[in-house]
Amino acid sequence: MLQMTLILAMFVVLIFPVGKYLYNIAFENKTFADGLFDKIDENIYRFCGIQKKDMTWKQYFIAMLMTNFIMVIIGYLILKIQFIPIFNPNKIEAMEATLSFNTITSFITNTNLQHYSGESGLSYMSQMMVIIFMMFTSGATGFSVAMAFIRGISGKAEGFGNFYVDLIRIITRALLPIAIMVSLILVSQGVPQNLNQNITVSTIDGKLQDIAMGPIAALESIKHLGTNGGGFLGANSSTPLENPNVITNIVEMLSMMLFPGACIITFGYALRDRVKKNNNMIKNKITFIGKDAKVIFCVMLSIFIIGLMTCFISESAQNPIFEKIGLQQSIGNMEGKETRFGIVQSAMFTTVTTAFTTGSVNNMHDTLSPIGGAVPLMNMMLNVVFGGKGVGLMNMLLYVILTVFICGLMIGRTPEYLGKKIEATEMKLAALGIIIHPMLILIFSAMAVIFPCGIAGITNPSHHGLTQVLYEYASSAANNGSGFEGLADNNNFWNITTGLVMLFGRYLPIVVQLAIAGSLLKKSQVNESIGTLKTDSMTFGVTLFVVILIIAALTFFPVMVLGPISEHLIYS
Amino acid sequence: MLVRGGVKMDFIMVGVLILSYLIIKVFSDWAEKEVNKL
Repeated sequence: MLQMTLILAMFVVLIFPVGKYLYNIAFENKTFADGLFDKIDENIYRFCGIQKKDMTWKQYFIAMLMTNFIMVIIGYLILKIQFIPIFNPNKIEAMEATLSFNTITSFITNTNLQHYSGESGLSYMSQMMVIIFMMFTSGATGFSVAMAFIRGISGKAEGFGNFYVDLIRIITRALLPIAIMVSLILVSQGVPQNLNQNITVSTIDGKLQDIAMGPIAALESIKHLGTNGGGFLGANSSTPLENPNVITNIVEMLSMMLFPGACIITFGYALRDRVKKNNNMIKNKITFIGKDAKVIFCVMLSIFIIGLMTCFISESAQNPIFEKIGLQQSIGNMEGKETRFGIVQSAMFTTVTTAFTTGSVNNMHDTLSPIGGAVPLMNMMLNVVFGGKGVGLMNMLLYVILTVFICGLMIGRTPEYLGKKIEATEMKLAALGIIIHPMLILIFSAMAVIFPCGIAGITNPSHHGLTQVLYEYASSAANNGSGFEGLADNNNFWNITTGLVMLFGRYLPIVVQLAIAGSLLKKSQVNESIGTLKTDSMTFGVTLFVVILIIAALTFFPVMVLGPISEHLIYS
Repeated sequence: MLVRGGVKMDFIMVGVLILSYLIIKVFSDWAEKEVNKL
């Protein structure tokens, strides 16, 4: 318990300076590092021919979409030619077509679902030019969109900014420097960073074993900072080569939590300055961050802590089946967990990686207890518990708009948010944005349990098998990427369907969110009156929390009953 | 041979990628129309 409290305390302390720094990057305010980074950025703009023009929300989206598309095509080609002897000491062959499709969509959408094992499926060239490259660019893309969204919805800026400028500024000023620092910490703890061939050693049994080498630390840092999650090795952060000890485990967890948490603070600063700009009366009153952001942060943290405690308590309990056969379980359900991490570090990593939609794993989620496994599943189904780098914030704001509308209907107040009227267009888009995510998960899960090619991949019978399927699509739609594992998922059906879910789960909600921000930016500011619903009070926070739970319960409760809840009831 | 593992399937997969991006583009056009109705 003390470990969890300390890590959460470190998280809360760290996100404030980082949130302020991100705010300065997003709104082009002065920072301590401008002297160095301005020169680097200006050279990149000049080299790429980037003009720093403000974009509309649609121009911003199309710039993002086309940039991503070009990266996808180039990345696909690299995966097909990776057999050439350039940075390929392990003589890795070209990747199969549907697996290449799955891999490339997975990494461009910041999902990092892996239907391959890194050590045997990718050359070092692919690891560096496709995987690590996309970990930076997809992370920065998510950030850029979140920054544009904050500019639009807060009304602090006049426009949405410029996608190319945002992308470069976020990589050079935030992701790259912090990734280098994290990499050095990981190297100091024993994570390999080289371009050597794998080492073959004799084990105590006299058998031969390959020890993977390569640029692991470089990938590991951005894997967590960019909430990417795809491991250099198949076993991801459960292997000592990626995550050797408790120190690296804590560093990796904080890396995952840092930027998504900081995005809420960035939003708070934008709201605070908007209020200052619009209301001279309180210009001199010291406010830390906007109150609306505090409410959102508290709701996210509450859901996170409930999930964390549920997972921890479930995993601390004994497995009733092992109990029957007399196995010693004094430290809890250790099946599929690393002894160097134990229950606390494993339960926390599981909750963090799914709440912050990273997707790396330090234990096998398939062997979590049914309720313990339901926590990561629910985090991905909700997709609003911090989420990945601003994406959770954008999703949460869809729920905020819905809550404002419902409250307005219930008590007869005008539906307004941040001084802008919420009307039919915003509601239509918000409803669509909320429904896209469950539709993708439930429709594709239904297809998987109907079609023989889908059923062929399910390796567990009954309720656990359904949970495997749900987890795979929830992970894809939420752009999480963690695997419940146990599915035989490297075949045409699973590669193509999860690829499509990742693409639509990434871009369609972004369209909706940017369109809402665009719509609100066009509207004139409405003065607060007695008829305005307060969205910065804890009462609103509680209502928002309940609305999220009701929507989630209505949407996912039936399928959760058929999956983990039934499994829990049967085996307990 | 430059590309191994079934060139025909590669063309299909690249086609699926292009089609997916086109669907997303069409969706964004629809959203733009909705916003411009105001």
